[in-house]
Amino acid sequence: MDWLTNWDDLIHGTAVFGATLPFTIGFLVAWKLPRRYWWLAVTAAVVGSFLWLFGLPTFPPRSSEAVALTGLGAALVSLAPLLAGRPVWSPVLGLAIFTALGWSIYPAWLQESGGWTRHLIVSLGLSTSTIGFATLVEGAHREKQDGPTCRLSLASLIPPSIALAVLLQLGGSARFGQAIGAVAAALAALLIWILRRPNDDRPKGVTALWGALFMLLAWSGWLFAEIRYGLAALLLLAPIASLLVNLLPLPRRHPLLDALWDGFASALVSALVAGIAISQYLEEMSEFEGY
Amino acid sequence: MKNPLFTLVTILGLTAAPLFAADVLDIDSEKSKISFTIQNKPPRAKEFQEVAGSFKDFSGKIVFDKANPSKSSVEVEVKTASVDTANEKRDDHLRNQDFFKVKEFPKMTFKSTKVSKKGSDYEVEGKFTLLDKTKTITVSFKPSSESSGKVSFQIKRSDYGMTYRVPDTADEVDITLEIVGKTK
Repeated sequence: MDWLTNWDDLIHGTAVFGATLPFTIGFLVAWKLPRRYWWLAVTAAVVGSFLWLFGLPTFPPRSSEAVALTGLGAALVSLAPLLAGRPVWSPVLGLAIFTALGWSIYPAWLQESGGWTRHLIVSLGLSTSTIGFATLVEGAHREKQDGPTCRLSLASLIPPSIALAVLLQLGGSARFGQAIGAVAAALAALLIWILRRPNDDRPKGVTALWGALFMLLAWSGWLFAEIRYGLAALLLLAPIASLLVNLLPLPRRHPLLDALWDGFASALVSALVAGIAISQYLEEMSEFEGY
Repeated sequence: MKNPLFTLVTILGLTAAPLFAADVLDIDSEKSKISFTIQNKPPRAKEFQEVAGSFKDFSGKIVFDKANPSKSSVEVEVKTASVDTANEKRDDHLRNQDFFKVKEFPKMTFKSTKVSKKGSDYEVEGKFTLLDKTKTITVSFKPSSESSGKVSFQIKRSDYGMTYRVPDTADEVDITLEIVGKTK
């Protein structure tokens, strides 16, 4: 298996495990599944990539290696009612699960300088923001029954995921970057099927799943690496930009145009954030030759 | 009158003690050095370059029993955040999740489990822990004086789960410890 380590490089790893592999798995699995089961396509796509990137998770999860897969499991259990198509779900279970996850992965550098109170605050912060964000984006994704449609499409979730991947990679965690890249690639695969069959119902729970993984990996960037968290927080504006652009009188005759506008608005914010991060990074790098 | 046997045993005991006692030394971090070299091929570069670095913050204890080497032992603890390759940006990256994960695993350690004399050197077997993964390694300690010596060995970082950029950044890392002990 030694040859496989060649593919662990930043560029190869991102191209293969952060994009091609999850896109292919997501595309093929979604092809054969009815839309209500598309969360399975996302899950299969990211499990394949996460396993390759992080290996089998340990239980209880004690290291950053275990975060992605255990976090995916936590998200699936928390969001199970949504994924099963029920209109109502209780976020309390999700809060409990993610608080337990946050508690168990609490890293050494925080433990050294803080007490149990901070341990609890960080765990609660992780769980409330993760479940809260997942709930918000899922709510914004739902079709409105009456009045003008103002909702979040999958197209608007892909650009901030790629920007977060950039922030994570620049912050010293290539694998977390590749992990959120894998989520974005799986969503891109679903988006193709949505555009081919625009009259079907929107898949439920997939947006919430993205929201939970996005927030969890952003937190991981702070807990285990050096993510620029101010810029990462700005990425939350990307879905909002997509929602706002819904209010503009733009031509939306075809779902492709719909996705285009939503994705474009989100991409503007995401590109700005990623651009600032890359510019800051290059400026810092320019002081150090030969790296 | 005191018991003559007690007096004899006491005198013998006090005289003989220094002959059999092991020296217990702290590692003098001011005079000691823990360094490493690794081959690295930067992106778009055609050839490998050697990157040398060291760790500035470490501590340890040596129990040295010259008469009975098997009773000797050594423990070294290195704060991985103190990695220094004379390039601050690279050091930042080394501290992060792709390499040393200092936020999760702030220390790497070596604890000997067996010491034996091999000619003028000492063979030290022990447990080397990096990134929470422990492997048994055997190193050769070359003493240069009563309280100093040098150890050189190679590890495969992938054995400890540090696989980032292998093989463009080599899997093999050469580590050298130049140890100077000081009495407590």
